Amino acid sequence: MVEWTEFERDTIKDIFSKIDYDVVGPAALTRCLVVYPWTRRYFGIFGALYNAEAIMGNEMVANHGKKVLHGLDRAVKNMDHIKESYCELSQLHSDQFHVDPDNFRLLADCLAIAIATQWGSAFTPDIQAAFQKFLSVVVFSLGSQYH
Amino acid sequence: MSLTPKDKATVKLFWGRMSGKAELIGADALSRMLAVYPQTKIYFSHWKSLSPGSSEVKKHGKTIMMGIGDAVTKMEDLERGLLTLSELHAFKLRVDPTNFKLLSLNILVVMAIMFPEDFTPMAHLAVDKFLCALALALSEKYR
Repeated sequence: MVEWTEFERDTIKDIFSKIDYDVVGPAALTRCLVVYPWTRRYFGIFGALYNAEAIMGNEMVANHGKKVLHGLDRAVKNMDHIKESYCELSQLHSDQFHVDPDNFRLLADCLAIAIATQWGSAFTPDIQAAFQKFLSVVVFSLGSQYH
Repeated sequence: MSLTPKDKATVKLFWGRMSGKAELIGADALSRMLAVYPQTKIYFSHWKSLSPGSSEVKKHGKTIMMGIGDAVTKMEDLERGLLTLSELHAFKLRVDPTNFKLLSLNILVVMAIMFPEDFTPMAHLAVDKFLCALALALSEKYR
């Protein structure tokens, strides 16, 4: 089981109480698709993804970004049982979407950068460490049911 | 994943805006790496303090940024330009090259903080490609 300090618990709750899902979600997914173009393979049904402008203007990408960010809510509410919370989603990503789990890490990195863009220097090293630790647990959990 | 002329121009543009704050940026990126990836502290176990404001962190942050700034001027042939630094990291410092990307990520985070409007996804792509190329050149002499 993951051990969380009080600071880490408070920080995660604080981040997610302040985060603008409508901005950060789309920003993170957009960055991922632009910076790591091979991730576009999973979103063929989203239509135009052939360059940065197309991706940034794609409504389906934006909506999916919000959906993915909200997908973290269950982990925020259940920090002591994150792996269990993602059992089904992990199976889904493995068996239905066939997503290479290394991509979860890439998206997590893009999320950290998206928040850094929003928060500026308020995104201190300690807050970043707590956030990235939280994301790494989610990333691990999402990969846990692959076989 | 080689750098296009546009990538190189983007990197040079950002570096021009960052070079005056090399110590601050380097110290910030290094502090973040040590906080987010505690395993990286092992390379600095000889320091008195690893805290963000410490003189060692500030000094080394500046050293790293000067190295990266030098790499920016040698973008046309990073492998040759970074030969000596690669030997240093491979034979003397013996830094596991997997750590280069950990510092790279934190440089990107600092850039996102400094340039919230200008550090667009395309700019992020260009700088990430450059830092990957730099890490590869730095790994050249390892084996």
